[in-house]
Amino acid sequence: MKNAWDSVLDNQKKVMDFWGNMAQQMTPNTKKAEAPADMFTQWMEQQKSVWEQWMKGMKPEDAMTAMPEQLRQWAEMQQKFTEQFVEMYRENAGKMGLGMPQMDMSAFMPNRMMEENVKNWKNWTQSSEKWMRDAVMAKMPFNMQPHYSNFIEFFDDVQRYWEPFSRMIQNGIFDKAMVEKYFDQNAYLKVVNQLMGFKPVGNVTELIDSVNHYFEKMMGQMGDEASKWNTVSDTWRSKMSEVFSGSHAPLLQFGNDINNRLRDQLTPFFNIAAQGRETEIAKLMRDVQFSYISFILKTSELQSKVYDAGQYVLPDLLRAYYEDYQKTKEMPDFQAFLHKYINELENSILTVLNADEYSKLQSEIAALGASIKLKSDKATELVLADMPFLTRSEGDDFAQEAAALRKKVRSLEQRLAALEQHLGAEAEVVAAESNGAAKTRRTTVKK
Amino acid sequence: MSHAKALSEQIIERVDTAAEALKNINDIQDVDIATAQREVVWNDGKLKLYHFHREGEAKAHTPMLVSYALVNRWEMMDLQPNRSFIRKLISEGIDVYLIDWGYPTKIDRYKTLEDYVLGHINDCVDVVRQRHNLQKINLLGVCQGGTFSLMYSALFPEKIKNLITLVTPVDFDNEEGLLFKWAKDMDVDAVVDGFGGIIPGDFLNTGFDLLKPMNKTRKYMALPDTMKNKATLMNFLRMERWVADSPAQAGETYRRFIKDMYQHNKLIKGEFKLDGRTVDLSKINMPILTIYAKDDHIVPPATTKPINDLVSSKDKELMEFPGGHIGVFVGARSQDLLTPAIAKWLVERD
Repeated sequence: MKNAWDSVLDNQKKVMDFWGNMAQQMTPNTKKAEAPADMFTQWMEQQKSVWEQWMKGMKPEDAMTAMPEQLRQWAEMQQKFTEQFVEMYRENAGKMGLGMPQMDMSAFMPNRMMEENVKNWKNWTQSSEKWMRDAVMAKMPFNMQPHYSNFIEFFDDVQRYWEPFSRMIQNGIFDKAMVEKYFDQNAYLKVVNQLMGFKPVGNVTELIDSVNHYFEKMMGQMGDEASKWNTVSDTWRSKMSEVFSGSHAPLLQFGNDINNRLRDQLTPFFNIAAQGRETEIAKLMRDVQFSYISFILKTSELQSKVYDAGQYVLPDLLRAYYEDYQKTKEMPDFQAFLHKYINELENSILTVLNADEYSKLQSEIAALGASIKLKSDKATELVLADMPFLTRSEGDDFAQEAAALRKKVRSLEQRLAALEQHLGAEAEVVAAESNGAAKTRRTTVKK
Repeated sequence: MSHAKALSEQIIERVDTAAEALKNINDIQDVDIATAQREVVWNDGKLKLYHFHREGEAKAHTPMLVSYALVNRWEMMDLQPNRSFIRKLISEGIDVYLIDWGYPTKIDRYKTLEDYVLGHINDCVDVVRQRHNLQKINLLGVCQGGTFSLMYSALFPEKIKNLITLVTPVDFDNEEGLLFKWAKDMDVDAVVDGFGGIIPGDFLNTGFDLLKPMNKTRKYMALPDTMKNKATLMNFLRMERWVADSPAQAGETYRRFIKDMYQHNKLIKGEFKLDGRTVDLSKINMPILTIYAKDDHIVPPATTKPINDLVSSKDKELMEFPGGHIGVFVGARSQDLLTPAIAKWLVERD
């Protein structure tokens, strides 16, 4: 299988042969005294010899590593010569009855050729990286694959920023505002979401509007009696939009309070509404709706805390690397930089995760999420009532029966064990007594 | 370093890595785990009691029963042949039994701590006692399974010869570990009811992941190096498989454990009851070996160390393992230091 290095060599050989043939065809007829065949041949031989010398006794990989500067100079020489050659060829080809060669002329530009080859290398390594990732993914358990995909996305995203980060380190750009010109807030939020496995809430106002829309639709089912809803709902929406225009955590708390207050205000309506399955469903849906809004708001607040915690990590890190660079003039490699960034970011985030406020908020979110599921399940059960399905509640009955049976069986087992122990102890006593009697009897007999 | 040189080095490294990785990944047909030979000697519904195969006589006459946690699966203890807590114990002369709790489903939502401790553990202990015609056997509890073992040994000291607790929490009233802090604030009723009485494994895993939020990223960043070596690649894939295999938990057991342990710390206070019987840790009078991991972020040492102060055993030992929670089972030091020390401790008290 050919690798990228073989392709560099092949390409080079092709160019060399082309030069050789072209020079032989052209020079006998050329009018240009300054371009004799032997000059070309000599030049080409020199080039070949230089190339061979480089390769001699050295693995191509080592040559690439050892002589990047020579390669660059060689490429420049080639390019200059090529330009002269092509110029001369254009002037003389027609006179020689030759057409322009049926090859991509860029291939004769060694600098471009090198660029092409570097591009090939990059493509190849990217492909191999993708292949490696796919191969690993295929061997992973299905429920770990999303984590790995998430990581890949994160890694590729951050790698794209490595070049600007490098320049920032070299040039001492670490002011937060300046850093954000390259690595803006959206990029930062994306990285944190990828690392923490967050599903970003996104635009809270839009989300609440869409929840409102659904809410209005649901309330529409309640008919004319629900006229009060429009007023409350409109008020609610306008308040929400007002509050969330800044999307800052304390405002989110405030919004949540409003949400809860409105829920309380709406409760009397349901208390006087007609009874029945539809009303029950509507009540549950209303609760789901409000719980969902709370869930969104609190999730957004929690995520904001995490985002806030890590926002200075990158500027601080760039500053630290800049200071090192000033002393050593050595740049970190991407992996080292990324490791450091992740460690520092984790430390900052852990400070937040350790806070009482975070712990309580996280608990509220978990409870809200679970309650939404519970209420939705109940509403679904009501919708599906009388249908030939085993509902969660019915399944629950079986589980309770099973639990009660387990308890009874265990109790019986314990009583049985106690009885066995008791009988065993009695049997031992009887055996001991009868042994004792026998001994006594024997003794008696002897006497 | 010039850009060209850096680039070429990077390219070469990637070529090397890719070539090695190609060979290694293609060689892997199956990511096997927990391959130590064993047989099911008893089962009760989803629960299985395994007896691990051994060649030759055990050095310790008394067999050992392992009670693993309800979180994740016991396979961690036999991850791969050269990193197997169980195989190593067997090779050190211990006869090993293990309780596999199975995968709870909705029918198990009302399964209680009593079912686990007074029911399942007691049944398994009795089965092993009968098989070996012994009054007492050895019990080793892992993490939450260790807390269960403490409860059991306090209630049935006449059936346990030696007790070993491994990274086992007993004092839940501390804030060294994030888990302990978060659990105190948890509205466990809402969570258990909301999930319909069965706590999904993914929910639990998410909590564990957040304790060290960047651990996954670090693990995947190291993957190109991991893939260069088939053994490390296999180890990585086995760990992935183990982490992914996270059973759900019976809601009532989870609710009670969070409330009575994490939120009210009842066991250490002598207020915890099972079926009306108070679990008094001072009733534990058999030799006890308490092992904690120095860098454990899931069950920090402070939650484990008090065990020896609560029991009345005259023969008690506190052992520190230099590593983390998982390293206790799969680390090289576990193989070289910990398991031989456990086996020696048991043989000496046989």
